[in-house]
Amino acid sequence: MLINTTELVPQYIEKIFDALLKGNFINENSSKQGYAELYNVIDNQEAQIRAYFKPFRYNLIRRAGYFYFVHDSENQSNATLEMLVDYIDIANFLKTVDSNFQVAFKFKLSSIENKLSDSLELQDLAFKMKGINAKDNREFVQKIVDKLRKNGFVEEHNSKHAEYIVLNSYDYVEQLLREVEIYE
Amino acid sequence: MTTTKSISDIISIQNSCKALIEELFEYETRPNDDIRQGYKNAKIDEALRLEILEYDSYDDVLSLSVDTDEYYRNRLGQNDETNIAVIAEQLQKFKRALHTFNIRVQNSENTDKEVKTIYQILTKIPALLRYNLQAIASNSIFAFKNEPNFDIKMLNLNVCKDEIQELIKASKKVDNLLKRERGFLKSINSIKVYTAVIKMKRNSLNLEGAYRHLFDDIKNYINQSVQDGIFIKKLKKLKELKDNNLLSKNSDIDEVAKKTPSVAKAVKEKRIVPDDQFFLFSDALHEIIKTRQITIVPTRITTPLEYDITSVQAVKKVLYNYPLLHKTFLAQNQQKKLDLISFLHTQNIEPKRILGVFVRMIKNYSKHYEIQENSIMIENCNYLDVRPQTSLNTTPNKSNTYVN
Repeated sequence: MLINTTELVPQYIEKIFDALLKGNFINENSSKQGYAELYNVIDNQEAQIRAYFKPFRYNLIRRAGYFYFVHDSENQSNATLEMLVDYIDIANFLKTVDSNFQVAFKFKLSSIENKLSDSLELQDLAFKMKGINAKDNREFVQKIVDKLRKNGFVEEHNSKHAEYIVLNSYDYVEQLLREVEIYE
Repeated sequence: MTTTKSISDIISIQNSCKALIEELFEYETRPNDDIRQGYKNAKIDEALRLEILEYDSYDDVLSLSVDTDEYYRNRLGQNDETNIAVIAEQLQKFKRALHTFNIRVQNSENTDKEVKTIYQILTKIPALLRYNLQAIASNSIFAFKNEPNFDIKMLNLNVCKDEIQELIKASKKVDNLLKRERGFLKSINSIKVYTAVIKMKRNSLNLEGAYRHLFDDIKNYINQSVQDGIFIKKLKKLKELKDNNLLSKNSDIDEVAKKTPSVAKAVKEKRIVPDDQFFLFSDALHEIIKTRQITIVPTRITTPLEYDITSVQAVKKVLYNYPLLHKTFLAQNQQKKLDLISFLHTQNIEPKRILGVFVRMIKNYSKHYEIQENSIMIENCNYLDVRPQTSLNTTPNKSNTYVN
């Protein structure tokens, strides 16, 4: 396929590059940095944009409500495994906090903190989570949410009330964990 | 809240304490201390005075007053009080009223009281059906979306499913009764009763679709929740395996990670440049590949060989020292200055990898090279001429083009 670069809107290509450079997901339900707009642009020009990035060996992947890139030479199965193992703890903890924790779920830091303080099961899960060291419940919850935010799975929805929203990209983690088969 | 208080006062206090009230509503007995502290000196006293908030007399914990609690429950659509059994009671009452009506008619007595009762029942039943439909809908949505505890969610959804089935049965009983007593209802010489029957039939038709729709919704909620439940169980099992260091042994997590392309991590800007000139030469590259008949990946080649952008990515990565190649290419002897691909042929590069190295060199160092936008035609062959930039080196010798 020969690419007609003149048909691509340059400022969006630049933004996609920016997102790519940061290793971000491009979410439809994000309200930050024009990502929702970018999502729509990619949605409309998917074939062109996919072809544009292919020679750089970046493959555009479309999932339900989000896009991301994979590099075809970067075999980072160790990094993926590490992330998966990490997120077993986090996803299990968050599903125990609220079984509705999934894409589009809104939550407040204080609500998770309160539940953590009230539930022995959650405290036990938090205690066993080796990767996160925190001096109290608040710091623990903050660290979990910071990690989710850093990985592009949640973003602040309402800064006044410290309310967050789970982005469509959280589906990436959930899908992978759903795929894992347990041998009986 | 009592009506003796000013409504505007109540609304104003409710608004000023909104975050606290919401917090209290969500967690009832354990409000966030910080929020509570923040509001303490401002509006809490007024909210207490207006009975929006109250201290529990038993353990002195600040909580919502019953009225405020009720207000928020209604506002959030949580209404757990269905009364489907009342419909059956009304039907019984209806049958009794018909019976007494008949006795009075046989004895030539006044039937006004019975007609009034029948009319009241006929107007009450549609309202009951609608109310219960709304209550079940509201409960099921609330259970599905807001109930954090999975077991309680499933319990509530199953209750909703039973209730909608019960309501459908009750509605059918109402329809059957109307059908059975059609002749009798016509014989009652009352416009009011007649109108009520017509309204009931219309109502029944309207609700029929709504019942089915709600039943399907509840089934979907249950199915989705069951899937969630399976996932929650799996997470717990995975967590158990992880804690016992049995994850790799007792699951295929390694294979899943291996086969999943990882999300591209932050890359250095140097590696990809939006204004990379590479794309300007895709036509020329197309030509050079066609004319040289270079085998890129033998298994993917069809005859005649055509340039496919996907082939570029299929070039296997081999560790060539690109910076050194680039440096040597720039530092060529003035007399023997070769174009890039000719140069690469002299550099002990595996022939089938030459195209990959060539493309990579253009990608990495195109800013240092001078590239003929149009391929050159020599002896019926097209070639792409790539040479060090003239500003960096001496003028390239264009006649020294590589010959196949």
